[in-house]
Amino acid sequence: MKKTVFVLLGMVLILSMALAACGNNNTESSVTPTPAAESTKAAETSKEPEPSKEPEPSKEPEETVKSIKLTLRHTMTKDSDKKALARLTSAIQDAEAAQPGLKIEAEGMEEQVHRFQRLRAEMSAGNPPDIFVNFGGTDTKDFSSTGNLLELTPLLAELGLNDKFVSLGEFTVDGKIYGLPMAGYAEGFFYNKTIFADNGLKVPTTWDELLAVCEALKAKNIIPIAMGGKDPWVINMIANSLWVHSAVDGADAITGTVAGTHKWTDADLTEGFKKLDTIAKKGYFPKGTLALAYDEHKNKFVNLEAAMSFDGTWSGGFYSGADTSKIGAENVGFFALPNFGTKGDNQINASYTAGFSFSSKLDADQQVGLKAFIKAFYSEKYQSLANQEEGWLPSMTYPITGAQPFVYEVQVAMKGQTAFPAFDSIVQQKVREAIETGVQEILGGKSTAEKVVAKIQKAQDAANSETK
Amino acid sequence: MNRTLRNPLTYLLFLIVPAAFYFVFFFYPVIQTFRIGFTSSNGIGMGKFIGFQNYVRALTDDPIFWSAFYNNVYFILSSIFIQIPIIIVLAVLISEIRGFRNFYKITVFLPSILSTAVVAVIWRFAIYHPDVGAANKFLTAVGLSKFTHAWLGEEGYATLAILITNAWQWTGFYVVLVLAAIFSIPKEILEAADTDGARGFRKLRSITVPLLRPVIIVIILLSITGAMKSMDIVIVMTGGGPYRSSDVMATHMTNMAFRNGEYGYGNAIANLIFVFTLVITLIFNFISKKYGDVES
Repeated sequence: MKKTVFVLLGMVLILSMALAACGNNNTESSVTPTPAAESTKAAETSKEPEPSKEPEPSKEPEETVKSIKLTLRHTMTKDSDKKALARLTSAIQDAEAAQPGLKIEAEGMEEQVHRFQRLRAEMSAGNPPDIFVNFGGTDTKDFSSTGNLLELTPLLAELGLNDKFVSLGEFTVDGKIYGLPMAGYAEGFFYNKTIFADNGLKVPTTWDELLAVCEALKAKNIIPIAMGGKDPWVINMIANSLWVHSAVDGADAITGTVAGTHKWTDADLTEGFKKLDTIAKKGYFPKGTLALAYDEHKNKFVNLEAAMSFDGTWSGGFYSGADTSKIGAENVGFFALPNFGTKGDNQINASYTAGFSFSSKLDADQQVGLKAFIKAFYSEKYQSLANQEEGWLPSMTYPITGAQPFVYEVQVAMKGQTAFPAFDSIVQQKVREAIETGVQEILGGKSTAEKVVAKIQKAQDAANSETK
Repeated sequence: MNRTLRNPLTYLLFLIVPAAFYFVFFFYPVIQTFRIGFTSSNGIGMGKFIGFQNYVRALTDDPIFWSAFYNNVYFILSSIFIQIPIIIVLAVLISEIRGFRNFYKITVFLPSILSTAVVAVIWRFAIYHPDVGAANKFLTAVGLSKFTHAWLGEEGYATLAILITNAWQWTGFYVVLVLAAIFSIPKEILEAADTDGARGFRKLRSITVPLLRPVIIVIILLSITGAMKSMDIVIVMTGGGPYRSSDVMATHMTNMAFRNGEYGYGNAIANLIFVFTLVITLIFNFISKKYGDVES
């Protein structure tokens, strides 16, 4: 008898543990709540006590507050993301205020972990967060194939945001929109106007003039171009523009490498790598550049050690900020890479690639909450704030006022230029890896441009054959 | 109650939960890793079954895999032939000290309680930084500025710099292990050696070190397994750079799987790490058994 009781007790214990583990906090997802239950939950989440105290809510179902829960994953986890996170938090509060019962639970995750590990696993398992940071191009293309990305075309029409975005190209796959960019960017040379003026230098308009400016700065013991080569994507910012400006077909050459119409080993594309080699060999990057990370790259510029920094406009706020930079907002200039006399002339790496995408698993109520979030976050208020606080280029067509001085420089530099997207949103991941290793080899003097492009082409051929 | 505890069914019942945990968190992932290693998975979905292609690629067509493997081997060799002799000497020296012994013990042990990420960041900036690092500052101060380097940015020095940092972090931990072993050597043996006239190095070579053999073998085993799975220190200090020259197998694996999206290939590398670690450990076990191990 004792034995039976003991065994039974043990089984009950195990079963209760198993059942507890299988439980789900989010009861709304599996159970259709009564209006009363819903209003109670709404009170719990929205801290609005009135509806829960209503004794007979079933009489007026249209006035009950439904509890809507959305999860949001962002990547604003660094100290430099403080302002962006504050804007996002404020937008979430706006959305929650606009949609009673809505509760958006935000969590931050390091960008690389989110982008390359967690999100891929979630896409594979079919359970991505409801709202999450996503990148246009390859990522969106990959994720859309899983069926887990919400198609936004009808939703945008409903919200009247159809023609409000500058470009949704990177988030569009087969004519369907799968994400909304937070901001745009352009890549070019930030330069210290004071250093240029003190040394009688002018903004270069040709490759030879650029080399002459670098030589003059080097002669004065000023680092011509800041470079944090430890992070290869930092090298690739300038490298990408060098290839496009060197290529006879401009930016089309990069897409051509994936389509098979162009090769990295073509003489004109190789020339781009040779130009990078020239800058490195002439000592225009800092000494020991491969040991310097991106933050050190930026610090070289803001601490007046370097006269130029090839960077994205997302760094403009850091370069201009009184608390982060010794340059002074008025002295931060910006110019595009000079023309080389090819079809790549007047092409600038500018795009709208970082933004939010949404899970296709959202139910009707959650889509209502999502609309509130989109309306709040993709608004004139936050587009303007992002521009004023950090110099982010607006991804929407709202008029911007009170922008930082460098933003006007960017606008001037972009005038008459055609935008092209970064190469890593076009080429396959293993090609990007080969390019990243290759450009480091060039900066370290380990390899020549010819050998590097041969290796990249080998990776490109392998990636292209897999795609077929 | 006693009868219940004598019933094997009771034990089986209570084993269900730990067995389930073991299956979910160990057995299942290992099987999955093995399975995905034979596919072209990109992390989204299982991909196609491609037989041994991933393994053939790693062993015959991926130079970074082999340079990463050699870096793991350097980790092991530097532990056995450089770090362990230093550990023994340090432990013997501390054991001979009468005053402040605890101070020395704590001082050498301190780095091992720090997180590897912290150690890596400290060394990256405080020692190896090309502009503000102590190494270059010292060389410049003593007039040897031509020997300054971007230690973590040059192929010839990056791995060496990591090895030194790794040794600094773990030496203290092993010193304390060896110290404990030294203090457990029976006094009678040491007194007998003294009576026989053994002193200094002779006593160390003929009495102390042979009696420390069991703990030294344990340290070597820990070093081998530690070296084969080293990853965090490399990621923080160099990220595998410059141009992947300081990659170890584990960083190459994560790079392929999580940065390149080649999950199938990354899993194949994980399996190879498992096999290589097993083989090296078996070889070491064979050698240690032949020349006397813990049991002997």
